[in-house]
Amino acid sequence: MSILGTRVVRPEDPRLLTAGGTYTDDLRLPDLAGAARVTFVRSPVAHARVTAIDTEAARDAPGVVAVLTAADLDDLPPGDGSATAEPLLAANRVRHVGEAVAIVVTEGGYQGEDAAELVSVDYEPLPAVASISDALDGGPLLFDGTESNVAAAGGEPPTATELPSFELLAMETPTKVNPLGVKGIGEAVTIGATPAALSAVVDAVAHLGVRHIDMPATPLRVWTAISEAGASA
Amino acid sequence: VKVTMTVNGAEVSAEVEDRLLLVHFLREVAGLTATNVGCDTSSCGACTVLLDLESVKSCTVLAAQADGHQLVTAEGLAGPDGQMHPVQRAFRAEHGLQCGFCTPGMVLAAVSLLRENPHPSEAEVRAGLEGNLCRCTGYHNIVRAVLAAASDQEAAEPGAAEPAASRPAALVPAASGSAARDTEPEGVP
Repeated sequence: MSILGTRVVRPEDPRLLTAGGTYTDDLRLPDLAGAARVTFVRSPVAHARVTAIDTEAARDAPGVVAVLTAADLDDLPPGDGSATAEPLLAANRVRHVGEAVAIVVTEGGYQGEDAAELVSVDYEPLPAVASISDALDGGPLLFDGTESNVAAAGGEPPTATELPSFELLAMETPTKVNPLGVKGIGEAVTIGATPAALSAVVDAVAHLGVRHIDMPATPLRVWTAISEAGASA
Repeated sequence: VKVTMTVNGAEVSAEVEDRLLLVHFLREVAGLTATNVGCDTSSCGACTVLLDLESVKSCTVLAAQADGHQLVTAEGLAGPDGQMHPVQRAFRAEHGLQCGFCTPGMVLAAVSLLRENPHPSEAEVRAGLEGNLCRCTGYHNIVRAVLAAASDQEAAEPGAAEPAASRPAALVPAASGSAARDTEPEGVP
């Protein structure tokens, strides 16, 4: 039997469904027995000078193996060497919410959360660049030695900056507890035009009872969605 | 604090920190790693498990709160013979998973949804699963899987929709039959 034109079920699915996959935190290797845990201390602000980091209290906290800051990593190679290279740990400046400022290594995960709270970082806030349009308009430079906050633009393929302007509704709550800097799930870089256009189509026919249209919103699909909504109303 | 709970039909007991989260109890104490931590902020639903057959996000439940209760994780859904739960089978048949990270939580949320509403419309499935996020397949196949499982359950014998690990009497107070029967509308065999 050819697999062409035939539905094929995946051999890995039963395991994923009944036992789960093996993601990093699921590893239970003998080599990892007694392994220490890492907790990151992250910036709560989008742009600031870091004027002081006090790790003393954290070092004395229960279960702490080590507390590291940029000063402890100066023997490691500095990123890719470009003007916009992000440091492994922020040295004297943070450039986004969630940027790692210190590493706390502990025997247990909960001890790491406790000790990370004891790391005291002094921030001197700087004006932030919070949108693509702000970056295009200039504004404070995030990286010294650069001429603008635009890393790349123009050419093919089209970029988000060439799309019609959309009114954005930001629903994220800033957080320093994850690397993305926002609570919940978000895309670091997403072109919102496609879902925005589809949402606009759904909104336009929502009063007819339509709550969803599969992409792409062809005339037939829109008509079918309206017809089905009408039939079930 | 000492906590004792029944996880997938087996009793698990341990002395734990007061603040230990249920998800960490399941992963670290009970050793069941199918339950994933996705966002740590109860946004994503990857940590969804069944507590007394109702779906809860185990990253926002303390282990101490689950003391004395019945837990079901993805590991406890399949039957003792390895036969997957109807919802698990439907997820496979309808390609409702890709990387599998959200899957255990998504499946358990779906099991709970179908217990409350055995015959949901597509819109009800979408609304019922809105607390569970998937980053790779999108939701179409997941919704399709839940709807397929719902029609499969109609054909299935009563009780087939109960998680296997919960079938032992503990979860069904004094009833010899199936808890599913209680939630099924009149006239459905």
